[in-house]
This record gives sequence, C-alpha cells and structure tokens, in this order.
Amino acid sequence: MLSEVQSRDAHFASMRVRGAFTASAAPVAFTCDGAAIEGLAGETLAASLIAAGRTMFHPDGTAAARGLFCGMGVCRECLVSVDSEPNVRACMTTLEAGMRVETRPPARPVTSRATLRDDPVETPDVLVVGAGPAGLCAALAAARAGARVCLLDERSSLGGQYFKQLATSHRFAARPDRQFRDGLALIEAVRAAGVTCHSNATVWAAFPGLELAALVQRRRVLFQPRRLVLATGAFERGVPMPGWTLPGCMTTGAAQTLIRANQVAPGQRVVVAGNGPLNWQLSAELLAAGVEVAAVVEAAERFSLAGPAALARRLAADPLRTFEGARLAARLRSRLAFGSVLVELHGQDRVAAVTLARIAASGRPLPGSERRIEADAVCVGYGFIASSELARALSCRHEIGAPGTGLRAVRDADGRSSVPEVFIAGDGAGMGGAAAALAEGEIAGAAAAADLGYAARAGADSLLAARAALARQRRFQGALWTLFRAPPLTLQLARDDTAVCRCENVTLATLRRALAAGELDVGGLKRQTRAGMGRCQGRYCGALLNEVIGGGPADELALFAPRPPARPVPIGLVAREQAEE
Amino acid sequence: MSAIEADCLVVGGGIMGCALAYWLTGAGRGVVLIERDELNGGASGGNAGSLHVQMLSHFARLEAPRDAADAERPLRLHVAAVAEWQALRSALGEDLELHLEGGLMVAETAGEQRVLESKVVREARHGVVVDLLEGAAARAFAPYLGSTVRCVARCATEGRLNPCLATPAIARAAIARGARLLRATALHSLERDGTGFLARTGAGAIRAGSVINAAGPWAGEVAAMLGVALPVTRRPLQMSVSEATAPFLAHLVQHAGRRLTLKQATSGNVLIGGGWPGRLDQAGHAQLARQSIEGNLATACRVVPQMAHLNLLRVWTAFITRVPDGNPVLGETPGMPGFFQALAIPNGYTLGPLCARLVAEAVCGRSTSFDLSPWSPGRFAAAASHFH
Repeated sequence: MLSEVQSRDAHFASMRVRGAFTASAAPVAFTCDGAAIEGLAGETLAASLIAAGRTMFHPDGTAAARGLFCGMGVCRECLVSVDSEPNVRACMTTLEAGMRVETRPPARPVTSRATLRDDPVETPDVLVVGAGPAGLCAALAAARAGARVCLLDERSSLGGQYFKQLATSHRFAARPDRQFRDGLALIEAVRAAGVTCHSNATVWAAFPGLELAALVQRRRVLFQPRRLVLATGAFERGVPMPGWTLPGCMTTGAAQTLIRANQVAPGQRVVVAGNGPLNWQLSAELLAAGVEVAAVVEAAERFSLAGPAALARRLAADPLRTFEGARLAARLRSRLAFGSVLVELHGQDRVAAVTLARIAASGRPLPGSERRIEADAVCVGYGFIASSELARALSCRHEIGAPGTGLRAVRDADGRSSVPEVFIAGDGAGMGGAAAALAEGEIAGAAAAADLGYAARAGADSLLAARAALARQRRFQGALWTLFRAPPLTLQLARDDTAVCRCENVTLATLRRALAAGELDVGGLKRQTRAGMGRCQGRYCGALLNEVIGGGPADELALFAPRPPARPVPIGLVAREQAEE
Repeated sequence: MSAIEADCLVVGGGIMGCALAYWLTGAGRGVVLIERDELNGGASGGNAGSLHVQMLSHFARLEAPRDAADAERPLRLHVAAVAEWQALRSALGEDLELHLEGGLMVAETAGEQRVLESKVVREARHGVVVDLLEGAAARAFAPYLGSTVRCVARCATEGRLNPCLATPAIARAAIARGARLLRATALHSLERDGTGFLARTGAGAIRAGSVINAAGPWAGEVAAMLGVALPVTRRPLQMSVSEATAPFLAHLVQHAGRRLTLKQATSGNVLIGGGWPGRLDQAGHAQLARQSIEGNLATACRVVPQMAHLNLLRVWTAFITRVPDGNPVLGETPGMPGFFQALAIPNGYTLGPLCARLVAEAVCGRSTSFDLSPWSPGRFAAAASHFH
C-alpha cells in the first residue's frame, strides 16, 4: 500500500511540469471514486485527474474506459459526476476543494438547480459567439465603433483555444510568452471597450429570426441581437485508426490545454502525430516543459523552409512565424518522422506503444515500413472541422470542404454570410489560422456595427490594416500548407474492427455491412447503425460517413442535418412550461 | 427506354410501403416500390417507435358523439396491430428491439383523471384492457413518476420497437421475396393506362395493374395526380432524445391532458415526443420551434423528474399524416378501380404492418381480416357532398 502511495506521489510530481514563467497555488483535497487525491484549485478537473494518474473515464457506465480526448468539451468522453451531478465534462470544469468525483454515472443523480424564472431577453446591437481571436477582435471592433456588444464563450475564461489563458491554479512569476501576452492584452482591451462578456455561456440553439437560446452560468437567457457574429472556432477532425479510443490518445489541442493552461503533461513519454505546424508547436512546448517526446510523426514529406523562391516569398508574408517555424524544425529535427503516420496504438487499458509507418500518396501505409515506439500518451492532430452548427441552424449557406473536413461558410469580403444579419469569422467559417481570425474578426465586427449606423471612428486605417493583414495571412497560409501538403487522410488507417463512430462504437465493418445490404445516404446509414447518434452529436464521424459511402458529399444537404441542441444541455435547464395550442 | 412492368406499384418507402411490398410479394405479386428520398426517411424513420393501444388522449378528450365514435373505431385495430408486429418479428427472425412492457397514461389533474376514467370504460367496450392505478399504487408500479401524477391508466400490451431497425428489416425481406425498391425515385405523373396505370418516375416509366398510395403526408398530392381528392394534411411534429442512461423507464408513458410520450430505447436514450408542433418555412420545410422543445421537456420533467438531469442530445421533426376524422384510409378508391389508399392513421408506425396486410388482401381481391368499409377512401367524398 505504501509503495503504491509513493509511486502515486512520484507520478503526481512527474506529471506536473515546472513552467518557465509560472508558479502554482497550494494543493487542495478532493476525491475520485472514493480515493483521496490532491489537485490545484482552479485547474481543470481533467488536469487534476491526469496529474494524479487517473486517466480513465467510463462515460456510459461500462467497463470500457475512455480517456481525455478532445480537451475542449466536444467529445464528451471525459464525463464524470461531481457531487452526484452527472454528465460533467472534466475538461471544462474547474477543480474546487472537496469535490466528490466519480468516473461513472452516479447511482442516484441529483437534479441540477435550475432557475425557472422567466427568461431574460437580451437585445444587444451585436452578439458575438465565441471569444477566441476572431470573436475578441469582432467584439472589440464593434464596441469601439459604438455598438452595444455582448460576447459569449463556453469556457470558464475568455481567449478560446489559441489564447487559452493560464488556469487560475497558476500565476505568472515571470514575463509570459508572446501568445499569452497578446491574448491577455486583447481580453483587457475588450473589457475596457465596454463589451459585456459572459464566460460559461453555452448557446444551445439558434432559431430563424435571429433568436439564440443560451445558458449563461446555467441561467437561461434568450438573445435577440440585431447583428450576430459567429466566431465558434473549430474542433480536431477524427482520423480513425486502431486503438484511437484508448485512454492516453488525445488531440493535439487537448494536450496543449493540459501543458499550456494547466502545466500538466499528457504523459511521461509522448508521441505527437498528424499533419501541420500545431503538432510541432505542441512538441516544442512539451520539450520546453521537460516532457519526453519520443517522436513527432508528420504526414507531409520532408521539406525545406528554404524551398522554391516563389514559396519563400509567400512565406515571407509572415516572417515572424516563418522564423519560429524554422526554429521549431531545428529543435525537433531528430524526432521528426516525415511522410509517416501512426497505424496503430497498442495497449490494454491505455496507450503503451504505437506503430508508425511511411505512407503512400493514397494515404495508405506502406507495408514493411512499420516501426514500434513505446509511449504512454499520443497526441493526434490532422487538422480541424469548423463548428458550423449555429450557422447552419440559421440557414447560412455552406460549401463542402476537402474530404473529411466538413463545411466552409459562404461569405463576402466582410465575413457576411448568406443570411445578411449573420457574420462568420475565423476558423468557424473554414480553417485560416489564428492570425487570419484576428483580422477577420475585426473586419466582421466593424461591418456588423456599420450596418447599424455605427461608423468606426478611428476605424478606417485600422480596417485597412486588417484587410492587408488578412491578405498576407492567406498568402502565408497557402504557402505553409503547400509545405505541409499530405495525402488527405480519412479512413485509410481504419481496419474493419476500428470504431469510426467513437460514441456508439460503430466499426468500419458494421458501416460497410449496412451499405452492402442496401444503398443508403448518411441519414439512412446513421439510422441503421447509430453512427453519429452519440454524445458528440456526430462531430467526429459525421464527415467520415460520406467517405464510407464513397464519392464524398455533393453538398451540405448530404451531411447530417443541423439540429439543436448545438451542445448537449441538461433537460432540466432548458425545459420551460409552455402553453399548448 | 422501355417501361418497367409490375403487378403493383407502391408509392412511398416508409413502413406502409415496405410492409405492402412484403405482403404483396408474399402473395405472389410482382412489386415495384418508389421512394422519393430514402427508405424509412420520413415519419417512419423519424418517429419514436411507440406501440400504442390506448386511445390517444386528444381523442379521449373529445366528447361530441360523432367524434367519440371516430375515436373508438380504430381501437380494435390497435390491439390486433401489436399482435401483428409480434408475428412479424417472428417471421423476420429479427429482434427489432420490440418490447411490450406496458404503457401508462398519466393524469395530473382531477379533470384529466375523469378523462381516464371515462376512457377506460369506452375502451373496455372495444376489447381493450386498461386499468387505473391511483397515487401510491401508480408510483409502486412506476417508481419514476413524479409527485404531480395522481392517477395512471395502464395497458399491458403497449410498448415500443426500434423503427430504424424494423423498416429496413421488412424492406430486406420484401427484396428477398423479389420486390424492387427504388430509392431516390420521384413520381412525376400518374395516369390511367387501359385497366392499369402508367407512372412517369425518376427511374423511367412504370406500368402497373394497380397502384397503392402509401405516400403518407404526401398521399393527397399522389391521389390528385389521378383526379382523386383526399383531404390529407401534414404537420411537422417534434421529437427529442436524451443521452443514453441506465435503464429506468420500462414503459411507454403518455399524458391524459398534455402532449407527451416518453420511453427509453434499448440503447438507453429516452425519446420524448407527444405531438408538439414544429413550424413550416415559406418553402414548406419543417423548422423547429423553441417553445415546443421547451414545453415538451417541461412536461417530461414534471411527469418523470429524473429527466431533468439527463442531457438533451438531439431534436428533430417528422411530418404526421392527418385526415379530418383521424381514422385510417384503407382500400380501393371508389370510381378508380386498381388505385388503393394505404394510410395508417392515427398511429402510423403501430398500425403500419397490419394496415399494409389488410390493403394487400384487398389488392389481391381476398376478403380482409377486418371490415375496411368504415375506412374507405370514399367516405370523404360522401362527407363533402353531405356538407354541401
């Protein structure tokens, strides 16, 4: 027993990294499945549990465990109960002293304390949903022009995924890095401009006529804005591979939230895999925090930043990022495996090792090229899917993106959607990166305010600058993804028994059997197999079902229909007595 | 391109159409079925799979003598329809997640209790066995019920099945018997062709000796192609589903005074419906109404308080098919020999297989196991002329 305690303590120490410029609060006690544990008040519950070596969740009460996967409230695999309240997302909940956490659904759940007063109706000039780079800039631009602006975000602090703030379990003991500094400055500017900011605010549905139903700190609020800016960001797309449901396998974003915001390592020996620079940034951050990174597996073939002159000129559109990229590449050189993918994650209860292999242009692994690496955590990032559920609910028109990448909003140069009162900015419209999102947000926020007669006072120059910055960023992003060009991976890594739908455990073989028995569209495939009916609401498999059917989707109607709620919400909080006709 | 020839053309690929294809091929007929969208893609796939036997509460609340007669007429059909589903499950050899654990209709007010008391008497006259449980007895039988429930009407043969499994299973069986099921095939026109019919469709021309209209909410439009007036209307109704949870709700739960159906599927998800309406946009597409979501959930939480801490996962709409008297429309169309109507109203999914068999018997010229004359498509013409 003692040795177990000692090893737990050693583990505790080893999972918590010593940040270069942070200091942590004193530990507090809580319990998990009856065992006493210490964590840091203010960090996410997911961080506390992983730091304590508790990496397994049982969201549906079965023996099969899941781990922290998306780390941003989307996959709902880290559901726990807290003080008998079920369905609490560990990744979105802040640890408080004395919490009683269970990793299975409670035997006797308690009802959420709903306030059943009449809904307040808020009518801001401009409502901004999402407080990442795009949303913050949109709110700031609209407020500076004179509009009454309200900004909502689902997380407990503003900043979104890119400007994720340091958890309140930690404080800066020295000057933080640029990403933290820029985020803090932007958030302060937004507050100073008089924007009404609500964190812990979930917009659960949008209805035609520009009505948005939200839970703000678990209180129901109805928003009827005159203009809406959707800056809902994106989530990592799913690329099914054998073992990808094992605890220890998480998205790159989840790992980055752990390490940046909570100063907890995703594992003791980590493999990072996927496609694109975010994986490299995470790898460097892990290394800087003293975490062992066993390999950085990159689907793109080896490239040189010095490449062709035309490409170099386009990269020069953002010299700072290009310089940072070159430094990253140098830092990771010995660990980088180009033109390669993970083909299997091994382990019983959690990840213990991975197999990587080289891939052909088709995205299929090349037999004979496999290599096995021991690792207790795997971070996977193959790009993103825009969170388009609210825009689609409002009938904003979308186009089909590349295979497996969901939808892109149709917008004009101001970010105005096909519904004139609705603007869409940032990655929620289709991927453009954080720097583009900053500019798009500013442009959309100013345009939304201008619609209402609020002319940007100091705005003309700033707006010109934003448009120029956006053009530069699009050139840079184009060049960047030319370098990182890789075979579009969807189902090439899945085997027959690989779950394509994580929530309902629907395997590739099950999907193919259903199709063999009769032609089906995605709706039919969903109804027959339950793929996409689970708690992530089809986010991770929805875009893949068209690939299983073959040929890819023709238009947005060929995807799952947009249906509320935009996020699962407690029935007791949205229920409200209504008269029948 | 030469026309497809068939004995029977079935229009509509929901539960009615698929079951018709199954029964008609079983009787040796050559069947082509056309479905505009996806098989089981409309109300058949969008309904919650309740197996209803008790009189629906909005029927039970009607008091005018003619309305009461309309409400009582389909009762025996429901009793037989549940038995039909059980037989079909055995014949198909598939599970269908069919469970008959019983159903409850709850009353929260004295007025609602009186509705139940009168309903039980009327149902007994039609061979439907329903008993009343009050207060503590109701909660002993159904511990999940909230404190506002004062009385329940209990029917042992009510239950549920999974429409997402059942319709495809029937469709597969029909295909195995030789039916051709053409999905994504619209009907452009329908006309007399000698003693039979000529249909122009997305799959080309189809000649058939008889046409069976199983188009549900769109049956009126199909009938109109042959100049037949059917007073069919449609309305989008909303359904909600919770996240999956451990089994706690074994029964089908309905309400005597409010719009509510509630049941837990085999997957653990709780399905919440009961007829709260969606809206129609200008193009006639269904849209969700916030008030209907909230109101439906509020009733659900009051009757079954445990619902409050489940998460809402998805809300959708499906079109319900309506005719003025709320009764089925079954059999050959007077004045249009060979054109059959097959509308299983008021509970399309419960009644589907039985009503399909009855219409198939009529198509084959056999005597039907139920007298179909009360449900003749001709009754509306008579009513209309009487009215004028």
